[in-house]
Amino acid sequence: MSPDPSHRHAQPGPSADPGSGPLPGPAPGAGTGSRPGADADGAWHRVHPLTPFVRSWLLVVALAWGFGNVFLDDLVTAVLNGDPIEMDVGGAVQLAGAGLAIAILCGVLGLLIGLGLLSWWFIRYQITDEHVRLRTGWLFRTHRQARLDRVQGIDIERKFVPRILGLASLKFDVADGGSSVLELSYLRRDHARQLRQQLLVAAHHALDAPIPRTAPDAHEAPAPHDGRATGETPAGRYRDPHVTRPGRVAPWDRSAASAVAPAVDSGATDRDPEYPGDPAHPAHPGDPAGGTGERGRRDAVDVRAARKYGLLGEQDELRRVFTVPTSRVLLCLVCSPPAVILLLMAVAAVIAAFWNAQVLRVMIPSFVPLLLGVLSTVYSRLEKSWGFTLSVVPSGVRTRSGLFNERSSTIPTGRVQALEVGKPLMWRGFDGHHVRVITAGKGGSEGTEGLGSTVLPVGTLENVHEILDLVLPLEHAPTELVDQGLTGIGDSEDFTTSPRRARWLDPLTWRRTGFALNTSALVLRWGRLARHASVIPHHKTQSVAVTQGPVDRRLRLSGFAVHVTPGSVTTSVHHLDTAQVRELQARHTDLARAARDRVNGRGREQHATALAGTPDPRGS
Amino acid sequence: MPATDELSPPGLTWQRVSPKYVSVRLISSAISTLVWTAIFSIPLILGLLGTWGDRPQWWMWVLSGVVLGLGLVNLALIPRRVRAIGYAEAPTELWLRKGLFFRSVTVVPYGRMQYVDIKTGPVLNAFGLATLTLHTASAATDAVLPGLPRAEADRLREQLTERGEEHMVGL
Repeated sequence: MSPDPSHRHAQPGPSADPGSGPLPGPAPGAGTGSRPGADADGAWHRVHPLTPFVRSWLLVVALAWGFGNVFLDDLVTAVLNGDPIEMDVGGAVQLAGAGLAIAILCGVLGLLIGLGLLSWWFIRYQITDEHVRLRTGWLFRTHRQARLDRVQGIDIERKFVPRILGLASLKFDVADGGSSVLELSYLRRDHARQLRQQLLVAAHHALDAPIPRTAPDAHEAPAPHDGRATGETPAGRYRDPHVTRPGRVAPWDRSAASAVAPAVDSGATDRDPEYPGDPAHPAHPGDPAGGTGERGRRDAVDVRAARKYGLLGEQDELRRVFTVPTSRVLLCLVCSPPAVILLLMAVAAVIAAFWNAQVLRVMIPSFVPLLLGVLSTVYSRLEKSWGFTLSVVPSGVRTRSGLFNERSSTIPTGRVQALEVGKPLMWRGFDGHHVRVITAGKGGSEGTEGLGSTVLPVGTLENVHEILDLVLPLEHAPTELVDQGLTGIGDSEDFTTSPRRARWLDPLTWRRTGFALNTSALVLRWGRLARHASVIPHHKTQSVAVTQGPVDRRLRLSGFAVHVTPGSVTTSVHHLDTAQVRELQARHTDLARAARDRVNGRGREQHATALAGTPDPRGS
Repeated sequence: MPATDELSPPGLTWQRVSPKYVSVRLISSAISTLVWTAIFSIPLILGLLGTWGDRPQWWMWVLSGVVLGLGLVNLALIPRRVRAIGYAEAPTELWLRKGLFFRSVTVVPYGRMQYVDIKTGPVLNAFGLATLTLHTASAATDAVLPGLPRAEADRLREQLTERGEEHMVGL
């Protein structure tokens, strides 16, 4: 059942898999005539011919408007007025004028279209087994390339105008440095989707191979097993040796994929993924240590095999986890700082109107910049949270949202470095939380506030738990610690907080500032009014520092910082007891080392048993 | 080194950077102190020359004095600052510490190092020293060891690279 190991590491595509023959034809929607997936011959493809016009759509609209206003108007008037006096000389002149206008119009338009087409001609991309390359420009040529095994995620971005025309762009997040985003724009939407799913498979294979216990695997389990219970099932097909054996089924066979997809969906939309009583699952997800890894691996084989041979597209939802209801989106918007500012402005305006109407004349114009700022904030919040949907896809989780510009983004689960849950003061009334993650290759200079890092714009605690399970699948799920991190105050069995003397520095929050450890992750918490908790899995930690300033030193306090890849998650706490922080550092170092070893597969057993035998995660 | 013992875990053998690094820091700090003092003494000089009022005002003296004083305090603290820099090679992690007033102890696992840089400037080079910087995937990791003897820096780099490969972990 398990595919030949050599094939697990092989790049999909004809050159990696000679037995499978040439790729089947392109998808019906592949408007550019290019073949998706890796091209053995290194052919260069062109993007959609409308690209330059869509890119400069503002210019196109402005020109159309200008021409429409000036030339067409003149033309129409000329023709309309000219008709009755056709025989007249003046009419002929007018007609000649109209003809000239048309000629100029056509000339300019032709020139622009020609220039557009020329630039389009020189936008070419190539997809090989290892790279995606993009060449643009005819005077000033640029050449960008991204290694597929460094690709962290491929997002489909659909801005408003391309969306109308059924186009989409593919954005590649690359791990080598912050700002290197390669964008293929624009492709026909179907084609973009298909290309994305195939590239993700390729990238995912390259990424995933060395890490045996990655996240998606453990959580892909539900769908196949759901399916198996209902008979003719994806799982059944995946396990079929004839299907999974390399070479029997051509990769990327769309008919096979489409045959499976509905079955996956029907099994997946089922909101009960917890296969109770399944004999194949003696080890329940809650089961600590031991079984989880093995179970994850076994399922991984099936899903990976299916994925590899294209039976299961990366875009196929295995399970839709939740969609944020519109009512909650609006509620969270009402209970947000911009809404409050708006309210304050309205109140101020009303008071001013009653007091002295003249004041309004000065006041209202001065409100305009603020108002614009507030409205743009509201708009961006709406874009990020409207119809926010989280679903499980083979490579991880996918988020999708947008009011006008729909964006979807895939977060490869094994790549999540840290997670932060926040509970703003104003959202307490309706149990609102937001969750952000750091994904390797997605942080840095841009996209820090982008969709890629927000996995929950507003949701209930239950949503938070679901996300924790999906995005950070750990042997010892820190769910309880996160709950305590959001609600707890003062020292508890799990949490160690700042000592009393820290109240001089943090009069309000000292009892909240604290940390808790288990064998899988570190949980930090802080904030009294807006409550925060962040989770940093040990095996993702880069380095760790204890810091102490002069004031801290007098009070025998220290701060603790965990360094992870750049992103918008806070991973440090301040003003803890120095002795406790030192102990935390030593303990965290040990746990992180053990976690790395486990990930590396070295000393897996011995560490698992050693750690399972540790009763109190905090130790002494 | 009593200054950082409070933060340092026991059981590590800390190594200091080269004592010659004190001289390097002294030279560069002395130069910058001179430059800053010269800049902030412009009013005083103008006052003494009589271009700015008849006599130098009191604040002109204060300005120059404060800048010079701060520079001298800084110079006086350099030996202690340099002594506070230390590193310890544990089996799987490198420990680094630094700082006199704002102190920190950083642990960098070998497996997390992406690359190791060795840099040297004209003054450092004259003393046969080099600065070693460790880079992880996190921009926050501030792991710099200034003023290592050249041979030690090379040895450490080799050692770190070797151990890094041995313990390498994916992101």
